[in-house]
Amino acid sequence: MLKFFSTLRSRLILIIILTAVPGILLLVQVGLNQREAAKQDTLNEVIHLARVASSVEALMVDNAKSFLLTVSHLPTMREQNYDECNAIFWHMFEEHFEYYSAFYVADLQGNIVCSPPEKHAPPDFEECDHYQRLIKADDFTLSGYHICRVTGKAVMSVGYPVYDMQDQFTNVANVSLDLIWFYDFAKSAGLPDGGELIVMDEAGTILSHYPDNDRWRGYRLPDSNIVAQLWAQKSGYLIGEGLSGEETIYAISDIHGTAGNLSVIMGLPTRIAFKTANFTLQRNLSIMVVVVLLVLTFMWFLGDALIIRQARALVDATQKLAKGDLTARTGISYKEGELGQLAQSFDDMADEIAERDAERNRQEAALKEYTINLEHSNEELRNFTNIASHDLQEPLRKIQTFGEMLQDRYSGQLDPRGINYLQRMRDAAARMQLLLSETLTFSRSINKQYQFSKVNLEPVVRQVSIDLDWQVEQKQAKVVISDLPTIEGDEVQLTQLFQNLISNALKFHSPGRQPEINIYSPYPRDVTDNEGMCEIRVQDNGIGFNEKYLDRIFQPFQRLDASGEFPGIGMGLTICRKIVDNHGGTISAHSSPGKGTTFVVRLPKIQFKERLNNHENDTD
Amino acid sequence: MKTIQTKKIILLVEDDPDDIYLIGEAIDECQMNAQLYIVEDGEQMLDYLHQKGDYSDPDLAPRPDLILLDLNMPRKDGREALAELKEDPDLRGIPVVVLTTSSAERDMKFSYAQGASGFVTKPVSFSGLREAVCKIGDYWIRTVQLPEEKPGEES
Repeated sequence: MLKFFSTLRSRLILIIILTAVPGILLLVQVGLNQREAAKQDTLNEVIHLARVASSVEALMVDNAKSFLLTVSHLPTMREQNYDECNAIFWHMFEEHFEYYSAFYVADLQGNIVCSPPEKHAPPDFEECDHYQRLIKADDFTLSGYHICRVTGKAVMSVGYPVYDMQDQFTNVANVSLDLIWFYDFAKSAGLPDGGELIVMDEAGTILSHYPDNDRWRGYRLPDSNIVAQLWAQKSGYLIGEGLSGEETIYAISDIHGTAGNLSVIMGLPTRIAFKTANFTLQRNLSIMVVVVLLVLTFMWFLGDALIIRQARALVDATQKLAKGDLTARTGISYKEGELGQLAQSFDDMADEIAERDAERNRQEAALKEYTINLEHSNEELRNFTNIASHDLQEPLRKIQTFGEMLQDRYSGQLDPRGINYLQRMRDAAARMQLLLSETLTFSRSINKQYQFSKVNLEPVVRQVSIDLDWQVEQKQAKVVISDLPTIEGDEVQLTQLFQNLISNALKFHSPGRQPEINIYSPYPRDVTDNEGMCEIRVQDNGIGFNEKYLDRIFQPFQRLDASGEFPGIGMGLTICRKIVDNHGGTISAHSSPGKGTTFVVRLPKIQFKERLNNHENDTD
Repeated sequence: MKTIQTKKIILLVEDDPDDIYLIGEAIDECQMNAQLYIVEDGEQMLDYLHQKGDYSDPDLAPRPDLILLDLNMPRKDGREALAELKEDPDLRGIPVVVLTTSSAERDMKFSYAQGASGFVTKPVSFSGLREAVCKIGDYWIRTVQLPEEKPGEES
């Protein structure tokens, strides 16, 4: 998912979709408000209907009272002329009083004395209670609506006393109002299809149900039923599975009747009640979706032209540049805006890189040429040193040879002064010989083609000590060689290194003291320091030197001894340093005059590839 | 010929006149029964051995019993001359002792690889040189036996 939103186009789409979200939320909110309004409408409607029904009920009771009043004062009634009464009633009830389900006149014992045909019902228990109250009250008496146990109809009885001509209370007149009027009232109220209108008494029994009166009249709903719950809470509305099995919204109000309160409950299936709200919501959402899709399509193409093409050009140019194509440019015309600026900055940067690259190439070429020249000149210098020292040796050798022959064979013919001259000449030649041979050795140590291999220094140093046997014995020196490491190096050169160091130590011994030379490593065998270096020390107890001359002793032809007591030309340590340098190591010394000198040689245990390669190149 | 020519022939290939003089002196002092012929570089040596050019007279260029060869010489140096000599089936039987100022390992290896019979670094002192030359003569002139060979003949 995250990967999907990594491209510019998908991010644009995401932004557009996010923009549409508040609109969609607003539409949903409006839809919910409309539904809420529909519920309120239902509630208002039922309140209105209840109010109208109350009026109708009051009117009907008033009419019943007027009717009873009129009937009770009829002379035939007071005279107890019952046959005539029956005739009158028969006419009266032939076509009118459809909501009077029963009418009769009875004596105080409950015997019906007068009644229209088919309009009297036998009194039930309720009737009896009502009858008893009527006799006691001696005035209008209302029973309240209830289900008649005999007819099953919802009825209310209204009674009034009848007096005879002597004003004696002899009979009662009673009329039963049939709640069927409410059914008709509901029918004419113009309820929508599926609408219900229910009347319930104070005990929760359904007295009237529109449109299915026969099914529900006299029914007491279980407490779990939504209508029963609404009846229990007496006000407001509830939504749930209605009596028809469909999801329905029910609202409740009261009929303030003349005898007790009745509850009026109106039910509307939500499919009807919320029809408008749902339709509006669906329509608005559909429009919204269409608009968003249109915008998306538009942005798909417009985004390509406005952003994505430039971004791709930038990406392509960057990739080309990264691959080393320094001619890569975005090809975007620079205008206002971030992308234009970015493209311009990129092109400027590419120009700069190309320029620097060209500059670097120039510098590299110059450096290469310089290096070649330098190598060439170095090579010439090395050859010169080599040839010069070699060729100079030849005539010198002759001077020495003929000098020797002269001395050997003709010294008898020379006076002491002549012999002195000859001796001085031969000494000078010997000295010159030493200078040249040392220079030659040094030149070889520079020119030498290094061959690196694993070299165990201990046998190497032991062999050097054996090679110097003659000097060691002559000076009665004590040479101690401890554990030495194995390193990567050129064995011939390393031999030369230790030969120079040990003969140096032998040479500069203190007069009158037995020379002691220690060759050792301060680390355990084959252990290196943290730079990968092994350390070997050559320690003597010789004459030593002042450390301020430390730099000098490694310089060519530099000697600290001016007395001439110690023969040499000052190339030995120079060669040592050259060899150590060529191994990538260091050489230094600690010394104090009269106490001895310790040379510290640090050599890498393993040669770097680079150094090996360099030397391989040297051999080419 | 054999009865007449009792002296052995040593060919010295050496460009340095001083060394020619000294080696000559040394050979004289060693009192070996040998005749010294001298050429000054590799070209001359090969001409001599093939009896060509200045050496077309066989009497002036007898086949040597021993060649003392310097390595560093002008024109054709001792290394090239040695290699060419040892390629020639007529000549490769002649023992060649390299006598040079060089003590380089490389030269030594090269010489023996090419079939040199010995490698001697010229001692600095005359006495040393004389001793070396005498020992060479002792061995190659007085001690060893070499097949009788004439130019152009295969043994």
